[in-house]
Amino acid sequence: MVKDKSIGSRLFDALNYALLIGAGALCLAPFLHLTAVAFSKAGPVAGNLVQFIPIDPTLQNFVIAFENPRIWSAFFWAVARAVAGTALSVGVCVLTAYPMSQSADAFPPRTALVVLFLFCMLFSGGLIPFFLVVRALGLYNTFGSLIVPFAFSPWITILIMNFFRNLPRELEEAALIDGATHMDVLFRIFVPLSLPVLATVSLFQAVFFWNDWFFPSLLLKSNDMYPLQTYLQVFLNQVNVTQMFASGNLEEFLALVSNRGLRAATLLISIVPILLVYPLLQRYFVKGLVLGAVKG
Amino acid sequence: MVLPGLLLIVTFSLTPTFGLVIAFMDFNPLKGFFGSRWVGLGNFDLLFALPDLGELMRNTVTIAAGKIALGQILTLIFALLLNEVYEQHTWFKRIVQTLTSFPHFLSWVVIGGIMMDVLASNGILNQGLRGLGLDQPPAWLGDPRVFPLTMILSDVWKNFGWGAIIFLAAMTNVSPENHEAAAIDGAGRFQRMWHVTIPGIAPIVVLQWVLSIGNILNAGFDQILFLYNPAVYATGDVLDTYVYRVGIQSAQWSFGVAVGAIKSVISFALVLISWYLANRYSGWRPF
Repeated sequence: MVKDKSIGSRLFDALNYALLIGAGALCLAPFLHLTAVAFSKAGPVAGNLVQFIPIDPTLQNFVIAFENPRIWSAFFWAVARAVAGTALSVGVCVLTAYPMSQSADAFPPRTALVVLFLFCMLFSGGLIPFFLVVRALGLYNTFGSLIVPFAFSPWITILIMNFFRNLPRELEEAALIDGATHMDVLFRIFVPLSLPVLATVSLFQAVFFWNDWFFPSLLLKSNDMYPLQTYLQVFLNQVNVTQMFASGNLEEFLALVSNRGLRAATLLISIVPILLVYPLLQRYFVKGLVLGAVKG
Repeated sequence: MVLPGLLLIVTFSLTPTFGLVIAFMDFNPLKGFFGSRWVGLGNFDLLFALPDLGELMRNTVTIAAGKIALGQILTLIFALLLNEVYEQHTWFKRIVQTLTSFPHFLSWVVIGGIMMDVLASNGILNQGLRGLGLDQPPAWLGDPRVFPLTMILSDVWKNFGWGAIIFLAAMTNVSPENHEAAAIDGAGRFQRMWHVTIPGIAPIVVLQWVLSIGNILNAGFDQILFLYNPAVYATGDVLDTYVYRVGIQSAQWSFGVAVGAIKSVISFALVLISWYLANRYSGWRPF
């Protein structure tokens, strides 16, 4: 940036920095408010007195939120889905990307497959035929329905394929002449050289699986296998602290815990895992944008 | 090696596209795909006879176009502002980016849950608006006249920070010499932003607008499904939510598929057009 000390330039800076602080505050404020509500007693919350600082601070909303056994099982299924789904999908996409990274001479079906992938990226049968297919395969209401239908992504495959195509072909040729199979080339040469890309696409998929709340609600009949986001969707709409009351004095309990406070506490708890990996997400998602821009 | 991927894409992406023929049947899951009766264009006749379709189209396009237009404009302005931060204040830029990108990584349930609290009729936003002298602040989630705006604004809020990254990357490629030359010629900061930075990134901006043509029927399914309620169906019900509610929840399979098919076909054509334009004018390729 060119140095400019004129009054106009300084005014511009003042306005610019003020607007940027405003933008940052605009994104932070709802989270601060949520935190303040979660840490406040029921009275001030019900009276709409809580703004950005807790009033009559209490941890009770969090205690009740953690005592809810459903949230633990929801956490378990969310982690299970994210881990299994990511592993399966990156595995399948890597396997597909390798032959697709060959020339059409070396791998004749390539052209037909490119057309198929493009078609499927552009045209979808929509929700109902998808649902009927999953049901016809007997996957409805199974854990498999949460990962198998989402395992193959043409888009992720193309990202990996583009990276493979930029690796030196000599490595592959030399290994094949030395008697290595294509599987050896893929897993002993290509995959180790592609770890940053694979980390990026793994995070893409993990975030997709973690954040998707709709498909579990569509594909699972019983809600005891609901992953966190899906459970949260139900919980936020039907939270009732009185049902969470276990023992002691109900009036004292209701003076501490409120529906709104409990909702806020549960939301905050669900944000923590994303917050913990946020530095990683920021770094690798930017890499993904760069990858997407690379032309094969 | 392609076998697993091929099997999956054929099963879960290609087969459902053939499943669109259900739109021409009176599909009955008990009788199955082959046992159900063909009704030709019956479902479409019914569909075009209902007033719903026009309303659904209007709602869908209003919300989607609002998100695209406001999102693109505000994201670009935000990136321009960030780009004017001095190099020795990179820490400041990073803090602002960290704060503004975060909502992008959260699900619509979490963001929606926060919105339900913040946007409640006596929520903190409306308290603030009352403090500013607005006697009757809007019912963000309950008033059908306001609901589409709420969807647009909350989507822009969630994504503007992250979206700026594409523009910022493009801005680093604008050569500093152009800025210096303009400064020597007496151009002020705003003039340089307008005459140097913006022309420098114009191709990327145009590309973003062109590529978003394909999204004109994507109003944001899971956002709306989570936040809407019968009181705002008149303006908030979009093609996707309608397909889900009528097709799956009310089990009117064929009718739902007919609505979905209309969306699929139009979206397909729009994406093709946008890809063609993007390729024609900036050499963009899907891969």
